[in-house]
Amino acid sequence: MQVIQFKFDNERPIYLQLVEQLRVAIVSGAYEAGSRLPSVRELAVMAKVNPNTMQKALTELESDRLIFTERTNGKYVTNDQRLLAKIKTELAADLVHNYTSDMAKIGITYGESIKYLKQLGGQ
Amino acid sequence: MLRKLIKYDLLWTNRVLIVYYAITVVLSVLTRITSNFTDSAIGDILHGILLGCTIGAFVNTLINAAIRIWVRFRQNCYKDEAYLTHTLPATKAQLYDSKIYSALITTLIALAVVIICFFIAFWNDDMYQYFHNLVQIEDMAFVLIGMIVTAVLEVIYIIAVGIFGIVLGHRANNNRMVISILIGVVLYFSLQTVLLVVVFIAGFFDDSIMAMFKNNPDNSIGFDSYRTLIIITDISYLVLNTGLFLGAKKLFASGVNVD
Amino acid sequence: MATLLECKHLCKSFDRRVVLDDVSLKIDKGKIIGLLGKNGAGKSTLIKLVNDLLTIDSGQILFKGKPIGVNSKAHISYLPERTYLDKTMTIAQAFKMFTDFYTDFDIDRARTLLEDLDLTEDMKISKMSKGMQEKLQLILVMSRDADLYILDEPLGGVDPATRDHILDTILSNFKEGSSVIISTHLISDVERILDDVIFIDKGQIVLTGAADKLRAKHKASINDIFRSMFYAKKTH
Repeated sequence: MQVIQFKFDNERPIYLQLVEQLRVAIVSGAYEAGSRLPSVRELAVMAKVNPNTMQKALTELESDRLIFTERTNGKYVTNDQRLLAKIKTELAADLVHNYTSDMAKIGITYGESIKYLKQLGGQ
Repeated sequence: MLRKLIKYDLLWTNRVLIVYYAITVVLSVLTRITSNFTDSAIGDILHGILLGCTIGAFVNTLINAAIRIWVRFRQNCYKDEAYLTHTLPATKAQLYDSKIYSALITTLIALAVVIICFFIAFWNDDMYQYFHNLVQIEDMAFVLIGMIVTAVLEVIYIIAVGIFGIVLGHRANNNRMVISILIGVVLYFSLQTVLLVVVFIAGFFDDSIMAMFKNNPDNSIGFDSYRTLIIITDISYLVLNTGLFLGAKKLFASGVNVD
Repeated sequence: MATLLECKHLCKSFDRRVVLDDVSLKIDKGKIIGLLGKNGAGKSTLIKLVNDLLTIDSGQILFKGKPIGVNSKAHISYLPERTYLDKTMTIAQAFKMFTDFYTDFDIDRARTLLEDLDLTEDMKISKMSKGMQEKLQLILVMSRDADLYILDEPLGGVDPATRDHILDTILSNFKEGSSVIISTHLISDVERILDDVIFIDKGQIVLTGAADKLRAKHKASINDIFRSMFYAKKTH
């Protein structure tokens, strides 16, 4: 069973944080496309959260079609590479947005921030 | 369910008592053996000591049986263990009945041990002859058996009073132990007084019983009134014991407040 | 949603001290509920009433629609704050006792959980430390396939590693579809596993709600919401 580390901030709904972190785990390939996910109970114990909350998060991922349920065998990660790529792009867009807006806060323009990224990003 | 409960109650109560039973048996056997050596001074002294110890062991066995029964009741129904006892899938009445049945069985076991050991330690031809002659007298066999029954009922009465005291005492919110003991002691003496009053009332119908309450130079009462006296006493004890057990059951079944 | 446990207008006093004052609440099926309050707020009294360890002054407690009794006890698995086992028993005898009395007790699960603790069944309970006895009790309680688990302060006074172990044991073993009530004053340790919370203070229910909704509404953790309600606010 692929173990992933969950981290939570108790000030936001737990299920939203689960959705975010599971999405990352899937897009990053920690849970590979087409592979079977651990059971709800296993994931809940791994994250030390309520199985109900985990179920709610998985339902949300399922409605995004990132995962699907095979009637008796459990839940699987989607095989849809285009969807995976699309989600990855969305996540990347969020991160870029955060980066540029944070840079803007300390007075660095968009053009300059790309320079910083090239100079320091590899570190 | 009741059976399982009784099993656990009996196990707990008798696990320690079995040591007392064993000691009593050993002392009785030793008393019997040394009774053959009373010709020598040392043998006589040894026999005397063992005899005293055996009598002591009899009393000890009965007292410890009673204490063990009370301690089980209190610990299992009101202290830490109560958190498990009262959450078992059983009714309060079943929990209570189990305690009472196991208490009665334990009492009878302890009494049986004492009686058997009495025979082991002391029974001899002289005693046999004495009793043999005694039961020739009309009604005496009845009186003797009646007296044994009285003794058994008296022991059960002491236990019943204790349990009633515990159940009533633990309805208080504080000092439950002290209150339980106080209730037990007061109840014991007041019911003994009641018993005396019952006998006294019986005296109005039987002159020879009344004679016990009067300054009687002869100080003798006939066997006939012994018989009546024992019947009255035994029935009174039976009524008292039943009343105490049922009264405590009613209180217990209405709910408890564990510590 | 089906109601599992319902308390209606419960009152309880000791002498003249009111400990519970008109407490009404419903516990639904399939939820993990935090019963949260300071020490002495009435949590344990409420739990003891539900488990028939105290007499009810007034009010009513219903389990699956019926007054509590033999039927509720057969389906409620209760972990008290006390060490409630007969200490002269061995672990094996305690397992036997639970097998005798609870039809929903899974002795195989209990044995597996026991192995994790490095304890053997022939061990006498009196020889175990208090902490070990508490862990054994948790094993007994979580090895039942109950409809409702009631855990009174399961995390009181334990170190972080033990706390994680206890939470793991609870999460891995409670029966699917059953409910769990966890009473505690150590909210930050458990809030992540709660569906719903019940705040109790001075013998009264002061707030109930879904944990995630409360977090979203107050933009704060349950622990912070609790603190801001019951402790004097720190001046900045």
